[in-house]
Amino acid sequence: MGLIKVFLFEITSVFSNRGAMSHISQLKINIKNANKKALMKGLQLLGIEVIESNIAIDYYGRQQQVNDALLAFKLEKYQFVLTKEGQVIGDFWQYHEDFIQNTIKTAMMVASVPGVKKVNAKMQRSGWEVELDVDDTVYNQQQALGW
Amino acid sequence: MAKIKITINNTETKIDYIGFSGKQCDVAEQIIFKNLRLNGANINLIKRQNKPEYQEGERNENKDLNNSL
Repeated sequence: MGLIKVFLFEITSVFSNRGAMSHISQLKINIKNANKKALMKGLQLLGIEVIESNIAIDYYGRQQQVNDALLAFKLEKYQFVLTKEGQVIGDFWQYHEDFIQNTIKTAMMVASVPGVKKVNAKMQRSGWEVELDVDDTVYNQQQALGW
Repeated sequence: MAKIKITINNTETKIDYIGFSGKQCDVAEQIIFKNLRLNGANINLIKRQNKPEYQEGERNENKDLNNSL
């Protein structure tokens, strides 16, 4: 028991010496009226090709015109269209709808982080894991919050 | 260099702030949430979780403050 306590103390003191800390926010996110520029930037940062189009394309290359399109993006042979209302139209055989919705959320999130220097995006089965190297001095300035 | 890790899948939606100071974590969270709202997202914070090293750091900050008084 004594050994464990000493060991734990050592770990915490290493962290506090470094001054490095960690903190996690778990949240719920819904995209309603996505800002087009932000979404384009976010999708591109994930390595996804974005185009100005209202055409959805399925695996066989069949096209479907979509009303009220905001933008389109490509994943392999597929082209998905996002409408201004936040609906996604496309062929969800390979990339399921929940993955596409999570892709849009991830893109919005990536586009909303200031000071990004490098993006390392990994596609997962139902979403994404993205590591952003950021310039943390951006977060020293409290005036950034309008205080 | 500090890192921000974003995980969004069917089971979780979270942001992990790695290598930030305690204050920077709070500022980063607020800036990101503000930008998300400006960009047209509805967001709700479900839970904020501080890892042990974060709390330890906070305690040290308080200690420093007491020493300087």
